[in-house]
Order: sequence, then structure tokens, then C-alpha cells
Amino acid sequence: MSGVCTAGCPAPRQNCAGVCTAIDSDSANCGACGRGCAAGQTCQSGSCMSVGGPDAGTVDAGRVDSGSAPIDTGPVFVDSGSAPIDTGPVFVDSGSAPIDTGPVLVDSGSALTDIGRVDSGSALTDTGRVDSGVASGCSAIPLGSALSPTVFGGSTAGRLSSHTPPATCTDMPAAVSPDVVYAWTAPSSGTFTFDTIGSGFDTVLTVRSGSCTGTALGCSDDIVNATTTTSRLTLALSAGQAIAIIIEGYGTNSGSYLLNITRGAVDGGTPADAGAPDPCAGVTTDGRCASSTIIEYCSVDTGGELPPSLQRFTCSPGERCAIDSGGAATCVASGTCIPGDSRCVGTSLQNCVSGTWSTTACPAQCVDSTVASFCAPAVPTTTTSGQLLYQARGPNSPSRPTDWSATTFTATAQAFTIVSVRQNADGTLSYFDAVTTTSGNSTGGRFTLRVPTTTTASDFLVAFAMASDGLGGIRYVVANPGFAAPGTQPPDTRGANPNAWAWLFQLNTFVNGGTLTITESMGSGAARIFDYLRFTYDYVTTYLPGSGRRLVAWMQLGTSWTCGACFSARPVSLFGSATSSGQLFESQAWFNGSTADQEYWSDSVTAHEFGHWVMSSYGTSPGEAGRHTIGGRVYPGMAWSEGWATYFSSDARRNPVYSDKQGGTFFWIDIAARSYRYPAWVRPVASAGLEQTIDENEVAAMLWSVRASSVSAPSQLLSALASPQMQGPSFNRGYRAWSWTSIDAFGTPVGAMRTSRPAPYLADFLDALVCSGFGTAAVNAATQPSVYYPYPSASPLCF
Amino acid sequence: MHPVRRTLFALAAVVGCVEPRLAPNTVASEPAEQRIVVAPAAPNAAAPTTTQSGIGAPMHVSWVVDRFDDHHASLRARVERVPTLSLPLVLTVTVPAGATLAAGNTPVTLPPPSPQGPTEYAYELTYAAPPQQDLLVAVDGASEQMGVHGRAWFRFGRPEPVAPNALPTGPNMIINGRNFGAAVPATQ
Repeated sequence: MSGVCTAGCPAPRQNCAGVCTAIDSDSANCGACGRGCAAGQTCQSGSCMSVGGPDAGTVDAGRVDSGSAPIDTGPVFVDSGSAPIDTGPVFVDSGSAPIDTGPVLVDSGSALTDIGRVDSGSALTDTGRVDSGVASGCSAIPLGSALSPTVFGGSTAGRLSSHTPPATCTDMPAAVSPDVVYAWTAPSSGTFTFDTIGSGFDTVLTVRSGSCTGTALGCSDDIVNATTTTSRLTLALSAGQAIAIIIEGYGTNSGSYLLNITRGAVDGGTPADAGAPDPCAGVTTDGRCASSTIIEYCSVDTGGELPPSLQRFTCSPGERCAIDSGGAATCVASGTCIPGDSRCVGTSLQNCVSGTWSTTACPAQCVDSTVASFCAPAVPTTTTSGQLLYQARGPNSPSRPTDWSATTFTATAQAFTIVSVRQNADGTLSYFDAVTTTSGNSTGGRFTLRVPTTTTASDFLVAFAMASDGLGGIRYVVANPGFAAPGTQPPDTRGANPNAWAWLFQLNTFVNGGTLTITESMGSGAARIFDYLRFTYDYVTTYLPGSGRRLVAWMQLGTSWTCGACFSARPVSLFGSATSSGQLFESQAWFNGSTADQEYWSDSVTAHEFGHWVMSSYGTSPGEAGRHTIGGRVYPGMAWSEGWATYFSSDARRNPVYSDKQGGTFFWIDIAARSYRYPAWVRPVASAGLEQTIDENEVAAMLWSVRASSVSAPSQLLSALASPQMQGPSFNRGYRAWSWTSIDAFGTPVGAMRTSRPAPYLADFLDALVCSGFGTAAVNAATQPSVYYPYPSASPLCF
Repeated sequence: MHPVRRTLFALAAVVGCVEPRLAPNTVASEPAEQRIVVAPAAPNAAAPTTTQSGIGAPMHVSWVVDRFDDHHASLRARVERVPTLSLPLVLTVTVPAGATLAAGNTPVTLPPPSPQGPTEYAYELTYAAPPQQDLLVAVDGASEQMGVHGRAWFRFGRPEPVAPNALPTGPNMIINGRNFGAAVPATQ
């Protein structure tokens, strides 16, 4: 509305060149006089809204605007006869806080009558849908590209029979049963599942191209033959592909029906997907020896959105390829020792040269240490003691955090390696001693080591974020990839000068008994990652014998990774030189060093990635991975892998709240709540079987629920992960891994194909747990098998 | 790992000499873990080489600058969400001292996400001179089960603040032939 402005031109109207203008909605004067919206934009609440905003600029056949901020509630269908018509978006404003009422179906004719949603006051209520029609013929009810949780339903009773299902679909194709036809268009390329779960009769579901007379794309009679008589089928469709969905009865059956349309494969895929060529041509992720010095393994790097591929790793000189006791290809010494290794024998230093030990007498002491064995110089020494600390931050609230805390706290630096060193006049370094700092939250971080009696400005204490394996090697280390400039890098890449994170403190200013503090400006984020690796490693190895894969965790301030934070069991040799081959690490993890996000303060993330390490080291990773989002439903293998990692993170931290910060957004999820509330936490459906696509956090929540059942449950869960049943190469439930090229906006994998590679998933793990004697009551309480995840705890498949 | 190390390593595993340690310090201390006897471990085997990434953020907030000069800025607050994130969100723009919001509303309750793309809100600012403080857009939402909190700043032409970067400028730590690279001096 416009008009001549008077002195009373009320807000939000404004006098624009003498015209009282609604600047909250006028596209030519949006928010201010003269401020026009660009093409494709409309004015909403004084702001120009682009396509994709609340109003995409479409014609609104049913706009209702009783307030200042109308909202598009989605398509509305009006049936003026036998064929409902989409009248376009409807805007409903129930007051100051408009609510999306979702699709509304209206049928005033002979077919569907959807009375839609009704605004009963302050809260809009979906009153459901009622089918009062008698016949639809082959005319289709348009659904646009709607997806569940919107459910479409009605009754086929009294309708005409206009469709005959394919003879391959049902043993009674010639029987006449009433049917209903829906027209639907794929909103994006990907896999979609159509089912009639919840229907009140024995259904037959057919999908055809274009219309109900088009080519049959698939059909389904019973989900489980003669047992579950509703129907379900999964199809790969292209964006914009139009299909007809026909629901009818088996034989002459009719009755009330429901149609659900979801993204992804609920049933693990159609038969056509199974057995797709394995891109690794039979080589497993455990690898094999392609030659005496080359490991060949299958890399499933979907974290970087790369397809599975065959990779090679060359053992260092002096090493050869061998299969370890667990069946994995690895590098072992080909001679007596690995070139570059060193050890002390009394006061003599032995270095491995060409596969044999070469002995050198030290001028004073020989020191075994995490970093290497070395001869200390013949210089008078004394001992000095101190405590190593580091600064850190955590979430700014234990329950509803919005960012990292504004202030730092100080933590003890436990299990760090401390070395005393002197820089000589010629630039070379002499090492006097090396020790590991003590454990304990208040008493930890302490060290006592030999230092020169007379100190100068060239004497230092160096703290390494590096843990000893107790055998002269490194168990895990936090390393800086050494890129020259800030930026985003793919995982498993490094700059010219990678280095172990280490901090240099001048010794001549250190007071015996004092403290050394790694400050935030010195990169204490790396220290926090190391401390949490230390904590989770010790937690796991308290319960599980063995030490798992050696791990290098990469973090550089200013460097982020294309995968976000991620883990891989890719081998890498590090810290070599012209005279040393360095050390082999069998796994790597990458942590975001963005100084804006400071993700290194997220213990949730560090422990999550270490959860992947636990599965990789003690169990079997299913080899399904990639980007994933909150609320996305993914294939069972990935849901198991990520769900386990999130569960482990919460288990180790004893906290069900997972928090993280990425791209300037801080977010948190409480897995114990088993609901996002917004968006809906989509629970599994019992009738969809064990191999249904599932929200990874549903898996985490189930495990968290099991954990709460007894004090010993956490260790029993860890033991089940490490049980023989979870080792492969095959798994009792017979699941085969999927791979895919990317995910769509909803988190649904696209470009998926099923491989022939055996993989474990949640049901295998629950088998292992129950088979170990774990109580089924706790398992059932977590899975709720009759309604949600139908794990049959009474009949586990035991090894 | 050389054979001697492997043997010793296996021995350490057999005797189970791992000492339980304490959790890293946190703002709120965590309960001590109870040691529990566990079942025999599986062999260290069957680890695939999947790159597993953490779960992605469900939202991203940014400024899109249409026009900017010494007296006027025209920009859009852009909110990208995963389509399933229907958590009620409120967008708030904080205008720095010295600037006037000539167009655009704050706070704004965001509509549900659209599968077609991001949501944008346009803003016009006027000022006699570029403000010394930044223009902040924040998008917040929380339920009892989850929360999101996105931030973005428009800095009126100023460069992004550079966080202290710990540079390894110390001497190269080469220890008996093993090169661990340079350390970060404590003076930084």
C-alpha cells in the first residue's frame, strides 16, 4: 500500500519522496528510501532477500499475511476435481514468530482431502490428512519433491484400478486392486527410498518413469516375503527426474496406506548395487607385500572425497615388507636392526649401520631416550628439577557453551619428553639428558634431569610433545607439518620443514624447582592435543593389552585440512636424516590449526579422532568414511565408525556433550538426549532391518546408553571392540561396505556403490558384546528393538 | 621397529605394565577412573586406511560486501545451514560506535532453512569515518539437546587480526642422526 504521507505516516512506513512507503516490504525502498532490491530479491522485514531465502520471489497463490513477517510454508495442493493442483507457496503468520507449517494438501473433490494444518492460536497444529476420495484413475497427485518426515497417506479402498504391477514384482499381477498414484520429482541426484511402512494392508509399490504408464524403475511387494507385507524400494535418481509412485494392494487388497520418501538407502541398496567392482581389485585395507620392500594397500580416503584407490608405501632402507601377526602388511628390519636405530649398552652407544650394530664408546654417559640414544658430553653436570605446564582453554560453559572460554587455565604437561641441550659455538648441539615428565593432574609434569653445572645462554631445556614407547622409540607425537604459509591443505601432505612440536626454554634463567609454561602464543594448542592423546591412550591401554598403531598427530597454527579433523591408518616415516631412516608411524591424525576456530581446544574432537585410532588399532574399521553432517543418515559402516568415535570421545571424557568450532561456528550436541529437537533426530525403524541407513549419533547414543548400565560397561565395550569377532576378515552379519563420492546438502551419500568388501557394523559389535556375556536387558534398553533398531539380542551370532 | 624392540614391546604387553594416568586438567575436574579387569585383547590387526573426518558444522555465517567506502557500507549477512537444521535461530547485528544502521533489521528471527540456498539479510551503514571497531553478525540457537553459535565480523577494510603464530625458529634438533626439526623458543 502507498499513499500520500501525512504527519502521521507510522512506522515501519517512511516518507519516501512524499510517499508513505512500507519500507519493510517495498522492494524499491527496502529498509530505507531509495534502496532497491536486486533482481531475484524481494523485501522481507526491511531486508532484500535473495532466491533461496524465505521468499524466493514466486507467485503466492495463497499468501496470508497478518503480520510483518510472512513466511513461506511450502507448497499447497488444492484438488478441484480428480487432479489436485499445486497452488504455490502459502504464507502463514501466527503472530510475532512465524512457523513453517510444512506442506498442506487440500482436496475438495473426489480424491484426497487433506485438511492440512490449522492455526489453533499461538501454535500451529498439523491435523493430519484424510482421504475421502473414491477414485484417482491414473492421474497423479503431485508431491513436488517432498521428503519425509512429511508422510503422505490415505486409503485405496473404493478407488479404481488403473495400474498393473510388473509381473516380476508380485505373484498376482493380474489381480485387480485399487491404486493411488503420486507424481514426485527427485530434488537432487542420489539414492532415495520409498516405502509403505505403516500401511494397514498388504501393499505393492511400483515406481515408474514419468507417469503410471512409464517404464518401471522398480517395484516391491513385501519388505520381507510374507512376513513384512508392506513394501519398500530404493532407487538412484537424477536431480529433476520425474517419477510416478503407485501404491496398490497385493491381490485384491485395499486399505489405508502411508507413503514415506527418504534420502538414502534404508535397506542397504538394491541388488543392482551389490558386488560393484572393487576399485582396489581385491587388495584389502590391511595391505599386502607387493615386493620385498613395497606395501600395497587399499586406501578409502573418502574423507577427502576421493574414491577408494590402491596405494603403495616403500619401506625404508634396511627394512623389508612382512605380514604381522594380525595379517597386516608392515615394515620390519631386514637385518639385525634398522639403520638409524640406536641404543645404549653400558656407557657405549650402538648405532645401526647397514643392518648391524656399530659400537662407539661414549666419553661420559650414554643416554637412552624417546628421541634417540646418545652420548652425553664429558662436561660436569648437576641435576635440576621443575614442572612443565601449559595454557589451555575449554568450552565457556559446561552445559550450553557458545565458544571457547575467554580465559585460559593452566594444566600439567604429563608424559612430555624433556631434553637438556647445549648449542655449541659451531652451531652443533650436545645433549646431556632426556626424561619423561611425571603423571598426575596436580603433581604431573615434573622432571629431574642432568644439566651442565655451569650454564650459559646457550644451554636449554627442550620439551617435546612426544611420548616414549619405553623401548627407545616414539609411541605418539604431535608434529608440525611445516607449511610455509597459512592455508588449507589435504591430509597426508607436508611442507618443506616438518618438525616435532617442541619448546625451547633457556636454562640459565630457570630456577631449580621452578616451572616452565608453554603459553598460548607458543602454540600450547599442540600441547593440549598431546595431553589428550596421552590421556585417551592411557585410558585404552589400561583395559586393552597391546599398544596399537604408532601415531603422529599433525597440527600447525594457521593450517586447516580439507577433511576438517581426521584420522587415517596411512603409514609415514618421519624424523629421518642422511644417516637415519627415521621412524615408521602406522597411523596419522590431522587437527585443525585455524587460529580463528582454535579447534585444538576441542577435547571432544581430539578424543573422537583417537576413537578412530582405537577402532583401527584394536578392531576393524569398516572402511566407509567421508564428510558427514548433523542429522544425516549414512550407511551402516560409517554410522558404526563415526558413532563409535563419538561414543568413545564421550566415554573417555565422561561427558555426553560433544562440542566443536568450525568456520566461526561453535556447536554442541548432547548425545545422551538422543534428540536434536531441531532438527529431528531420525530414529531407526524396526521394520527396516539391521542394515538400514542411520544417524551416526543414534549409534553413539545407543552405546552411551549401554555404557550407563553398569560400572564395568565401559571396559566391556572396549573389549567387545577388540574381540575376535571384530577382527575380520569376514564378519558374521555379512555386511559389505559402500563407497560414495560425496554427500548432498542433507548429508546423504551420493554416487554410492556397494563393494564386495566385508565390513563390520553395529550389529556385529552388539553380537560381540552379547556373546561376551553382556546383559541383553541393557542392550535392549539401548536399541529398543521392537520399535527402533531391531537387534535380536536373544539370538546373537557368536564367533 | 627392530626385533629387540618388538620383543620387549610384546613382553610389556603381556605383563600389562601400563600405569593408569589421570585426565588432563579441565575447568571442571573429572572423576577418577575405576580399574576393571577386562577380557583378553584381540590381535593388533585389520586396520583399514580410511580417512575419517569429524562431523561438520551445521551452519556458517559470513558477511558479503556489496559496496564499501569511507562513509558507507552495503553488505549482506549470509547464513548457510544444512537443510535439516531447523533449530530456531536469531540473527543479531552489532553496529560499532560511530556507525549508523541506515537499513536492515536486527534482531531477526530466521525462517526455516531453504534447500535452495543460503539466507541473506541486507544492511546499510553510514559513518563519518570507518569505525575503529568491527561490525558483528551473530546467529544463535539452542535447545536442551544442541546449540549453534556463529559469528562473523566486517572489519571496514582492516586486515583480519593475525593470531600469534608459534614459529619454530630455534636450532634444528638433530639427535644422533634423527632430525626432529626446530623448536619454538619460549621467548615468543
